[in-house]
Amino acid sequence: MLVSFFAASALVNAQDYTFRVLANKGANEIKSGDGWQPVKTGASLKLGDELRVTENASIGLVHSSGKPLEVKKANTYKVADLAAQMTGGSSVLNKYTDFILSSNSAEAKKNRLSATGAVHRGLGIKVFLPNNQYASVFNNVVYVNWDKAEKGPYTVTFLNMFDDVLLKVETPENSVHVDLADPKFAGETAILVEVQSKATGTKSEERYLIKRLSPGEREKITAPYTEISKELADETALNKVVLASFFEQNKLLIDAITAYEEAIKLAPDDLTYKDYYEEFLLRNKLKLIKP
Amino acid sequence: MKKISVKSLAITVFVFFMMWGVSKITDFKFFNAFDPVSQALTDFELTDYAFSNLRPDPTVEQRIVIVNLGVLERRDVAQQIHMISQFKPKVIGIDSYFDCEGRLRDSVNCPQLLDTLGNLLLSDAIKQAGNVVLVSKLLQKTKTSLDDDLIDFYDSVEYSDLNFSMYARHGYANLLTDPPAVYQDDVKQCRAFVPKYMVNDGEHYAFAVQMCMMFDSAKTKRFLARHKDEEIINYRGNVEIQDIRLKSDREKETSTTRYPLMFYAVDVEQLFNGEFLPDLFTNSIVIVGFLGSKFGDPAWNDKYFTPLNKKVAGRANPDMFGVVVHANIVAMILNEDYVDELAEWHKYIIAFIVCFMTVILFIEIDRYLPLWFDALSVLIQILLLLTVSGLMVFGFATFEFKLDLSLTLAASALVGPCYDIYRGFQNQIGKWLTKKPVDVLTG
Repeated sequence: MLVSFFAASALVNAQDYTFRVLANKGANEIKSGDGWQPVKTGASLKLGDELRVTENASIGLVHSSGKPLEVKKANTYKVADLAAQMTGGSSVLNKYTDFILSSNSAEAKKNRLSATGAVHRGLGIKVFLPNNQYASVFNNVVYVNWDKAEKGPYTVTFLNMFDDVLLKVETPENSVHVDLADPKFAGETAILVEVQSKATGTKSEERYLIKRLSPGEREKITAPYTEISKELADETALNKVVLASFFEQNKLLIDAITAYEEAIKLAPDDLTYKDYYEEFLLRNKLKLIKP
Repeated sequence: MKKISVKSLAITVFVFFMMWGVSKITDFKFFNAFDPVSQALTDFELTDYAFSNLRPDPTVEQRIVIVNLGVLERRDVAQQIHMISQFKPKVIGIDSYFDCEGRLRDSVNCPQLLDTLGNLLLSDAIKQAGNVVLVSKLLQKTKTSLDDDLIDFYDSVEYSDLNFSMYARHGYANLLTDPPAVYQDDVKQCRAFVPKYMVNDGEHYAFAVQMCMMFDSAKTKRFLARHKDEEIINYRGNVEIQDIRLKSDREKETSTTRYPLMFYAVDVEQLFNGEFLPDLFTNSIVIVGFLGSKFGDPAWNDKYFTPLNKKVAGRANPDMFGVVVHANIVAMILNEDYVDELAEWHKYIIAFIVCFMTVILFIEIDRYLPLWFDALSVLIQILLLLTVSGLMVFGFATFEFKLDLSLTLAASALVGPCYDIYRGFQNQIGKWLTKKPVDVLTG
């Protein structure tokens, strides 16, 4: 009696779950009962449950028999159907046959041109700011623009080097501008910028640096800047483009961006300035030509 | 019969002499420049086929959870440890060094020192957890490293900085690699590891062995009682999660290993977002290590070729992160699922007997079927090579016994040519020693 009780309870324990989640990648979901819930590693799946694997996601499961199963194809699966795949197993002879046949299959010879010899630089939101080498800024006004490929609204976070948030801006547009004279940025010589889509959660491909010029560097720029400013005293779009060229020559690309933005604001209907700006972005590899 | 045995013995000795000669000549690497095939197959072992293709499917090891360390800073690692330890795992192994490599302790060479708060947090997290195993590294002192006679001799150990190491146990993370790696990112293959090593009279355990010792000391002591200097890793499986964005490629079989998921795995963000069941960690061995910046990252940092790689020879992508290699060792010890192998003298005896018997067969064929000798001897050699190769794979796939019969294979390959050479010499010497009929008649 006692033995059968223990045997029965062992059986119940052994059949407590059909699968457990070994590893999860992506926004996969489990339907256990009425609602769909996000998959958690270690969660149990029972025979009546369903599993939804989303695009570019995968899930690793361990069957109650201890055998693993990886599901990669986007679809909704019944756990019972997945469990049915776990019965039986390949013999060593079958494996040997599979191995010989698969080595010579047409599949193994396909797609010889799949490698491109090029890299994708980053996989997040592309922000049109220069890399750290050219992150210096002379003026206080800074424009931060980014690619609209990811759906908005966006959160733009400005942080200091210790990851303390200095300013957080939410916008439905793909551009914000800040004034570094704002007391929030007081005493910060280096500021990090991160953009995140609120809709998809995708972040900028890296944290971009904005670095105030050191007093020595500032001194070197101030004299020629004062001189050219006198000649460009009129607030015209053309003058702003000339000023942008000055900044570009001095590798102050963030200031050049500000000058182009101001030029476009002064002549919003003139496409020439937008073209100049676009060429500047491409020339300095702040923006890449989309294939 | 006695005459045949003596002749067979002489030819067998000649075969072994030739093998010795060939090995000495190849030591000089005269032919390497013209021999890309053998260079490509240098790291190849026949038993790799069994590991990757032919053995029965292993089952998932559910006592081990691997947590991705990603590229977190020390303060974030501290948070990881804090989160994991609250679920009471039995052991937390961290496959990362927290020191300044080369002991260059300035802010240029070791900028992580600047994050003083992060370092304090990490130190406190390790202290509070109380069951952390950190990796150490077996090293050679400068004087030892300059001594050409001291190969694979280690007399120094590198630990994480004292503020971390004083609250943790240690195990060295060194693995036996082929070829030996200078940088962590070098292309390297790992089949075996050293379970323990004596450094300056102190016994040090491998990282995985130290974790097992804290998890199940009885099994670990039984493992150490095997007293083997090197243990072959009985690889169970991998943690390979791919991120393939082209739909046409995603539906294909693209994994580099045959068993891509054999342990629980939690990604960096998943841990921080609580996307796991708390009991996953309870009473488990949790190994925190690098599995890419996130799941699906095809990084090569700290990645090894293993016998589980689907491509067993030639150019291939490495298939397993170092932390998963350690997990496989832990699984092997906890399951007492070891790979046994032949002793060195067994290999010589088997090769000698097989060669001796083959030569007897050749002598008999030469004696009774001389016209068929060439055809039959080649056929016998081919059959012998196939049988020995098959036995090696079968022994591994079925009995997890590494039947290293490379010497027998070499003897089988050389026995035919050596027999012909020996016979040629024997005929010539016989001619020199025997008077010609003309000399006999006129002498």
